[in-house]
Amino acid sequence: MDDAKIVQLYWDRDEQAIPATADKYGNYCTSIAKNILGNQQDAEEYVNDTYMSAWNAMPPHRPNILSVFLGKLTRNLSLNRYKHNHAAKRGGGQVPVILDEIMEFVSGTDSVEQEIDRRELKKTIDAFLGSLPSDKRSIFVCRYWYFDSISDIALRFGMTENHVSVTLSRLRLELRNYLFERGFDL
Amino acid sequence: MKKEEFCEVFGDISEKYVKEARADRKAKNIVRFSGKLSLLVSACCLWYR
Repeated sequence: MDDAKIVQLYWDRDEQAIPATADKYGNYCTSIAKNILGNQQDAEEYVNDTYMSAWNAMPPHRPNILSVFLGKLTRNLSLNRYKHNHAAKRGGGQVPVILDEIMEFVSGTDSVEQEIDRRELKKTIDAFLGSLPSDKRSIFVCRYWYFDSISDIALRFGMTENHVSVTLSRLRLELRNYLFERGFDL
Repeated sequence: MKKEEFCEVFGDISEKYVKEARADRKAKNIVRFSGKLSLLVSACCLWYR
């Protein structure tokens, strides 16, 4: 079923919207949740929550790209769950390692004086991503948006794990410098 | 800025880059699957001979 028809089912309050979404995007959402939460059972639970959130959001929302909308819901719900699990020191999939990598360009502290304009930061990150060749951009997005493991990225992109790690390390440094040059001392 | 906060901001990047990366993830998965499939077919052919 095409995306416009699935969205219309939500707008018509037709319960077939949920199985249609699960059929087309279930594996996609589960892969994101599993990367973040680290286990299949939690991942499936949060993918079901994704469908409920989509049901509650549409209408009034009409997503431009349904896959990204669902992926983002899954990512946000799973990250919230990760924070809860982390407080209880349970699980975490790829997240702890990825957060350590992110520490290379953020201070890790909350400074009241240093109020960051999140919309401007997002625009600057988009500009940075736009300046990259598409394969490097996809590798970066797979790691920091989809939380893919280094080994999965290496397999998907036909690279060695070491090559992926070195590429990501260089890209993190480039992003840090790019942000710093534009006034973002994170 | 806290790392979790940066993670949240990164979640809001342009949809076109998320869509592009998804297409790459899918395409590469298909390549992996067809690679495994051709290995399996080759193994079967060798075994049959």
